[in-house]
Amino acid sequence: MSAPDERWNPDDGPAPTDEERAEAARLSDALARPVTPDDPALRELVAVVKRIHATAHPDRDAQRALVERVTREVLAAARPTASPVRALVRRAWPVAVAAAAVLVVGVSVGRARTGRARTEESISRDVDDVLRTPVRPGAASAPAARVYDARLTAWREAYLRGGSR
Amino acid sequence: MVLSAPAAEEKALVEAAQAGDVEAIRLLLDRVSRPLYAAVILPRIGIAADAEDILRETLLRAIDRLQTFHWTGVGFFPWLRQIAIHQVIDHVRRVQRRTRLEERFERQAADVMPLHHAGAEEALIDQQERALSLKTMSIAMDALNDRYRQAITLRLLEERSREECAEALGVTLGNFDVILHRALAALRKAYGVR
Repeated sequence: MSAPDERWNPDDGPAPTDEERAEAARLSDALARPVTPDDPALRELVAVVKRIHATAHPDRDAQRALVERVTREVLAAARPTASPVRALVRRAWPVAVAAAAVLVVGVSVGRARTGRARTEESISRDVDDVLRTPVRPGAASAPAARVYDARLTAWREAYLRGGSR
Repeated sequence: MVLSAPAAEEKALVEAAQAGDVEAIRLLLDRVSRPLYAAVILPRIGIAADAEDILRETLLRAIDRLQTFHWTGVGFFPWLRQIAIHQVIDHVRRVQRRTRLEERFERQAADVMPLHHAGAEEALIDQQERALSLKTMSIAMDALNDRYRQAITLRLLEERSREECAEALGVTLGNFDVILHRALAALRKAYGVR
């Protein structure tokens, strides 16, 4: 057996620098360890090695164990999502949102109308108006009193019926 | 179209899974997860921890999007494989700028030609996916010079010791380390970085 050539073979490219030799030694060291290196450049080269290894020498037992574990974890995490109820909820959520929007708009419009009606047709305001009308002694006060009485009576009846006018 | 028995069984499993049957989802994933990890994800990523994360994310997404799967006769695996390759691409994008590898994976993801038929067994899926990965690797190796290719073949494919490799190349251990380092850096360009 001939001794290995200590000199650099020019067929292998330009002679390496000390820095390149140190990098090559770090790679060799990294490949001998199970831990992936943190250095990004080294990590890339180790990844290439591991890609080759995974392609050429798959460790089927280790892969099977890993996949079974991950599948179990994923199924455990996804179980509620996969339930028919969740699936239904997921499919129905746009309808629910639309229904909620219609409800909100309906209530808002209804309230606005009710408010306008209250503003325009408020018995109390009418009563207030009557009450605010100056009451003068003599004949002029009689119509005001009659209007007041009539409106107050109507309001009281409405109130007693338990609703608005 | 009349389905073969395995294809009909797979279709029934998919339908049950889409109806929320967790056991059906488990059976479906059990059938294809290992070749998905071992022959699709890991050979494209290398680092086992990263590949595991991608597998997890792929399965979660598959379950989440199960309702969007439509049976087209080619089976469940190509759909899952497509999700996995997109996850691989996302991973590559996260770790570095656009690469030739990413472009290659995009082409693979866009390739709708199924490698196998619906209801195919795990071993067949694994074999066909692995053949694709070996071909990709072989093309990359062919682009290297002879000495670099020899270094990778001896050390990584034949798994010989450093000493044996150095002896076969007629160089010292230190020089072999340099050759292997250069060979991998060159392969990284041809094979693509992760």
